[in-house]
Amino acid sequence: MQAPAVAEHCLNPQQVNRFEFCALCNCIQASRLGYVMSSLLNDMRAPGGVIRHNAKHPFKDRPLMKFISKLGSALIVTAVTAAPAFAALGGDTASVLTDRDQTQGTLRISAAASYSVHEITTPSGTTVREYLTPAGKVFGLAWRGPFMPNLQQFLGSYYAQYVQAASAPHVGHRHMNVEVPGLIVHSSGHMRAFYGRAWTPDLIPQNVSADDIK
Amino acid sequence: MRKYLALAFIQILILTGCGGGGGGYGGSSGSSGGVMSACSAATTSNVEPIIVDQGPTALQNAGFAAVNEAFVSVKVCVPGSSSYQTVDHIQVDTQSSGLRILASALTSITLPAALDASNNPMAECLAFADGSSWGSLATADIQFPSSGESATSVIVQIIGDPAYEAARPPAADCPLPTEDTVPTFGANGILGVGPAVYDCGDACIPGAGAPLPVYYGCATTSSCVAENVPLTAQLANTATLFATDNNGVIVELPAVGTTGQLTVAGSLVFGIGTEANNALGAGVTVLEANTVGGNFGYVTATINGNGLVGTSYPDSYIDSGSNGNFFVDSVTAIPQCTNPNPPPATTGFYCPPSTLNFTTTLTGTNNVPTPSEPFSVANATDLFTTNPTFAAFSNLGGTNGDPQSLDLGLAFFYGRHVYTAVEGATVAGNAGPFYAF
Repeated sequence: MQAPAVAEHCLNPQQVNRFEFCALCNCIQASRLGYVMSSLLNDMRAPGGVIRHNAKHPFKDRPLMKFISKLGSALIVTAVTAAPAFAALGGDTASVLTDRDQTQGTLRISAAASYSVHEITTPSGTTVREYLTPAGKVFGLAWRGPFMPNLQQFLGSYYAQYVQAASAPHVGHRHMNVEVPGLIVHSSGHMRAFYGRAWTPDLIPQNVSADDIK
Repeated sequence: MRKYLALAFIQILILTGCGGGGGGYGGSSGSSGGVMSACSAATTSNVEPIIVDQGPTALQNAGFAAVNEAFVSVKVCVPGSSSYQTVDHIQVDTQSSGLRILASALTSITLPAALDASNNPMAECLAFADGSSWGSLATADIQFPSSGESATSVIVQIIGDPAYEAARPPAADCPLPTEDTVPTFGANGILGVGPAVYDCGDACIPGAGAPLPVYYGCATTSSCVAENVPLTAQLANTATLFATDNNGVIVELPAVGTTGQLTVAGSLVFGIGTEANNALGAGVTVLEANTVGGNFGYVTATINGNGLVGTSYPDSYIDSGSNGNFFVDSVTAIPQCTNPNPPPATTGFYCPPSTLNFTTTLTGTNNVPTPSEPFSVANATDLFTTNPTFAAFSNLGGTNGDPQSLDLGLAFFYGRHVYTAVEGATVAGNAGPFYAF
């Protein structure tokens, strides 16, 4: 079962009244919702995974916003714990995936500023950051850690395209650069230390550089 | 037509085989009776010859050729039997752990399966940055044919074991593309003599939590389930299994000129500071490496040249299993080669209009910098097309997925003696893991 994410409700007029606080949600910018989730989820430590969220926005330190954020916490907890899930590259709020590596919550962010970042530490110790547009689409990924992440999950609908390109002759086991229309994947590393980035140039917001994905 | 792969190939020399095959993959492990295996000859030295060439005939017949890959031969013996096979073109890799051999290269012997705690045969998924290799685990006695360095009851991976291909885990666990054949893997096998003792280590032992998709127990050949296994059941840096000379290796290769070389002969020296020929000599700088998971093996490189002025690369490492020097010049982007299809396949290599010269200074966690070391990046397509039969190039470079990483591959090894000491080792007061040159 998957529970709709909070921000999705807040942004969807047809669902605004489902939760008591949705009128409030609808009033504040979704980027602040991101901040709510961030402070909340930073304190969650379920076995096997940690999730952090950082939203790039100009108001996150304002006391009023923090107050509003805390108001929303209870309802967000419900949504998050009911739907351990995550979105893949290019995915939106309908693209929620489950993976046994991802044992922690879900975030649906709509940032007022250029982008938001979700960070998950998987049970293997590898950290994956997902970069979301203000509209809530994942436009980039970056990973670092002792094991490769599950790229089938994180690349989502782009995975087949990646695999096809990665199957071409290339320079060895340590470095994989896939650059095809609509998808760039840079993967590198050796046993116990891997690093990689992936992004969809078509989805990168204005004023955001691929170098910001890291 | 010749295609260039970054990898190597395999050729199997079947020397003899007095005793017939050993047990099957589904059989029990261990020796039968007290028969000494064919891998019990005396050790005569700690030096094994390395060859850098285009790889075995089988690879070349498939239309590929290895570039900057260092190969050794390994004698693989059935425990408790006189049966053995010497497999050549095993790639020397100083950034992985364990001996892995392509099933198609082990044609004349059958090794007994390595069994887990439930007496089920084991298998492993080895994930690379560009895919994965899957195969069963077997038990073998091994010996290096020239030096005589040997180890018994070694757990080796049989990559692409046809009996277990049906049990290959889904892509979510064992990533695509598959690298289970000689043409896709690029060598007859790989000899992991890197800074880690074990290939997975504590992350895969009982009690570590839900099993990672690394080690598997196979109740049947079509049904394998991820499981945690003790360190003794994991693949280990092969050098650490020797009775002596077991704390690391030195890769010694002569210098190669700017246009490359047909082949290069060098040495794989076992042990560091254990014999007269492997001391940390005067003028050698030790780089102790990061041991934190995710950053394992990293040292910091500073690069100058082509617009880079003292740019720091904190995720850097030295790796005989990489065939070029891989890094991103964030100031003046180096053009990548644009010929994606063989021959030659240069995807991932750099193709600057003229050769670029750099220097790098490396610093380990012990904060002792190396002298400034030069390296160059030439146009890979020009190198390959000018001398299409050459296998060794000192000025091969390529891009790196990690913009903070300088991966100094085999191109950097030419003209140097590069030491790689394992974690836990201490040599003349220097704590492993470390690199030195």
